Amino acid sequence: MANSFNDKDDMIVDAVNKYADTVRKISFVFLKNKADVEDVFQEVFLKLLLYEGVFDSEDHKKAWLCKITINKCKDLCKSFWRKNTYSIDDYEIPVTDKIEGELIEEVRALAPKYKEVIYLYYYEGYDVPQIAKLLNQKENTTYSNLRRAREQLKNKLGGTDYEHDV
Amino acid sequence: MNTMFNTILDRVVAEDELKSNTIAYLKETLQTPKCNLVKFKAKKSVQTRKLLLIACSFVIVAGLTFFGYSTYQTPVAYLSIDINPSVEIGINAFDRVISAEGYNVDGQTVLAGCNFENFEIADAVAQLIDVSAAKGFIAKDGSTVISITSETDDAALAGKLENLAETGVKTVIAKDKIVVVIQKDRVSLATRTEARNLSISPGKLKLIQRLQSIDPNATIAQYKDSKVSDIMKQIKAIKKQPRPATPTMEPNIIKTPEPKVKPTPKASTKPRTKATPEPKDKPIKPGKEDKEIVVTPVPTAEATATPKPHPTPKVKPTPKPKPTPKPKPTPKPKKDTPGKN
Repeated sequence: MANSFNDKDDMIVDAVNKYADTVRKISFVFLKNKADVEDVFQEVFLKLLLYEGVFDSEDHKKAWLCKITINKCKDLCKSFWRKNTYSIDDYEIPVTDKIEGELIEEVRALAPKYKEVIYLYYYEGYDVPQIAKLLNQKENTTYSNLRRAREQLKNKLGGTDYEHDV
Repeated sequence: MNTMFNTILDRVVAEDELKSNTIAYLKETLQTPKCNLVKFKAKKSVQTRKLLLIACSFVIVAGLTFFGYSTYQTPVAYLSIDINPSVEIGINAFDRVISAEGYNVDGQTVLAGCNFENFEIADAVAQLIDVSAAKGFIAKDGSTVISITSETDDAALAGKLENLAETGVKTVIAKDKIVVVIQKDRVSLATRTEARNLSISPGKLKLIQRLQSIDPNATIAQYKDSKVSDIMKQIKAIKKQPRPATPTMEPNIIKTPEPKVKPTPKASTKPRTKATPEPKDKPIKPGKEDKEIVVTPVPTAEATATPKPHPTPKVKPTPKPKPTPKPKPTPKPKKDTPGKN
């Protein structure tokens, strides 16, 4: 009995240490205050630990975790209360200069459907078919969302500094 | 942009405090009995929320539907059509017929096999008259009286209902080329309740009450099953009785032709027949105050012939020959003069 408790504790610590940064990065793109981030952490890891299915691989597990985290963040963003209130205990944004600050602010200001494709495409390195599968979308929808997200960033950030990269 | 974006996100790492809080929460939660976890999951279930939303929407839609239906099915006024069959139709706030009830056996006979629900008022009345005519309740000699009585406390609505019903009656009359007398009236809903308690249509009750006002011996039980036309005849007959006082009018009418007519005795008879109906019409006209309208069909050759039965009562007061003796004195002097000669 004691062993089983220890095993469970180890599993919890292991899961949190392994995926906490991924969950934190996604929640950083979507959310702005500590309380929301903590909610997402608790729900995502609880879901992971209660998951009874079998992951084919580590990549599969990570993709599943990304999908769950994005969905949880989007659910929170939909909440009327959170849409209409502002927290004063925001995390600090880890930027070194004004350009970085502008870029991350504009990405965070995008609509959730654009944020998710930007994050998965640019940071996680998934291609469009993979993103479409992960988000249960048609590939054309993913392409459209990615193109529109780029256009919006280009319009807001101005100039051509980011254009070729995007 | 992607490199800068990646650089920024690389710097984002889960804070130790966040990790330790999450681990503490998970340990605490996972050690609770499984039922608690199930509850937790159920509480957060999006499906449950959706189901709840659907259930709420269903309740709202059902409530609105019920409210709309009950409003539609609630009568705001009634219209009583009395010939001999007495029928009452219930009308809702949208001027649609929602019920029809026969007040007597003939009324039920007329309604048998007919459904007037959702009909417009004029259409329902037209069909009602049509069926009554087909079943022989409307005499072809023009003696039938159709009483239309609106039953509502709203004067404007009462007028509207009466006009719509009249339109319905006239439609059938024009089509079937028959002559009837339309008697329009209105009663309050309180009178309707009173009539229902007496198992009589409000229109007929109003007529009997009118009869009682001039003939205190008349009882409701006596006229309950009478035709509207019979009650109307009785009212007219009683109203005519006190007419002996009218002689004051007759001389007035007769006087006017006298000066011109005197020379030609033949001519004096013609104007009398034309002139006499006028004073006799007028005494009957009290009926007109009660909105009595004689409706004749389209003015065709046949139509012009049919109205004749009506004027008959007007001609009845033949007592007017009384003035005829007046010309007699004029010829007498003529006879006398030759004698003298």
